[in-house]
Amino acid sequence: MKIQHSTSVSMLSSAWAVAALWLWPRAVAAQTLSQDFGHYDWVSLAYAAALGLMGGMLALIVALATDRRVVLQVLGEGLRNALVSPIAGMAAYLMVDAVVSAGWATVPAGGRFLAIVGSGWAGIAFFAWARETAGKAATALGDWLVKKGQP
Amino acid sequence: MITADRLRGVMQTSIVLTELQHNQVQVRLVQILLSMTMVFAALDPAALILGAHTSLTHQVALLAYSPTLLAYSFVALAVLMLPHALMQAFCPAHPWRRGITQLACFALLLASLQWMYLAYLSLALDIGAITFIWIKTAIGALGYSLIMALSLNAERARQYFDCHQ
Repeated sequence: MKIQHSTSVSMLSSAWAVAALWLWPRAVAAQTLSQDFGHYDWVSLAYAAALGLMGGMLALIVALATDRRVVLQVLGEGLRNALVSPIAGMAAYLMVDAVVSAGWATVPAGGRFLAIVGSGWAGIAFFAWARETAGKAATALGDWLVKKGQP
Repeated sequence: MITADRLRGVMQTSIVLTELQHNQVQVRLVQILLSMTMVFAALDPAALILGAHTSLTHQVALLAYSPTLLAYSFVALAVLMLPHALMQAFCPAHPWRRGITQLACFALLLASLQWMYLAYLSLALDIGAITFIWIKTAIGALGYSLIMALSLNAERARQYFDCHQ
C-alpha cells in the first residue's frame, strides 16, 4: 500500500525532532532553567488545567444526575476524569494560544474559557478529535502542495 | 430514674427524639442551610454587578461580553435553586422532588461555571485575592452539586436493583 503525501507526512511527524533541535541549544545556553522558562505564562496554563478538571467534574455530575444510566463505579469514573481532563484542558489552551499567536484568528476570553471547559468535558474524545483534525489538516496541506507543484 | 424512653412513653406529643430522628433532623437542617446559602451566594454577584459600581466584581464583569446578562443569569439561577430549598424546608417528600433536585443541581453547575468565568476574567486584573474568592465559591458550588448528583444516582441505583431482583 502506497502512503499518500508521504513527504508531508514524514515532515509533520518529525516536527518533534525539529522542535528538539531548536530547543536544545537554548536549554544548554540558558544560565538557569527558570531564567528562560520563567517568562512563560505558567499561571494561565495551571488555570487551564484546573478548568479542564472542572469540565471533567461537570461531565461526571451530569452523568450522575440524569436518568440516562446508573453509574456504579463512581470513584473509577471520577479518577479517570481527574487524570485525563486537566491534560485535555492544557492541550486546548495551548492550541488556542497557538492559533492566536500565529494571527489566524482572534479568540475572546469567553471563547477560550468554553474551549478549555469543553475539552475537559470531552476528555479522551478531545484527543481523538485533535488527531483526526491534525490528519485532515495534513491531508489538506499535502493536497495544496501537490496542486501548487503541478503546472 | 427519668430516661428518654420513659419520657417518650409518658408524653403523648414528645419532643424527645430517637437517635435516628435526631440525626435526620440535623441532616435536614444542614441541607436547608446549604441550599439557602447557595441561593444567596448566587444573588451576591448580581447585586454587586448591578448595584455597586465601585466594587471589584463590577470591574471584573466589565471585561465580560455583557455584564448585565451575567448578573441577570445569576438571578435566574438563584430562582431555579429556590424550589429545592423551599421543598427541603416545607415538603421534603414532594412527588416532584427528583426533578426539583435535578433542576437545582444543574443550576448550581451553571452557577459554578459562571463563578469560574468571573475568576478567569479577574486574572487580567492581576489581583490574586478576588480570583481566589471566585475559585473558592465555584469549588463550593461544584461540591454541593456533586453531593446532590451522588444522592440522585444512589436513588436511581436503588430503584434499579429493587426492580431487577
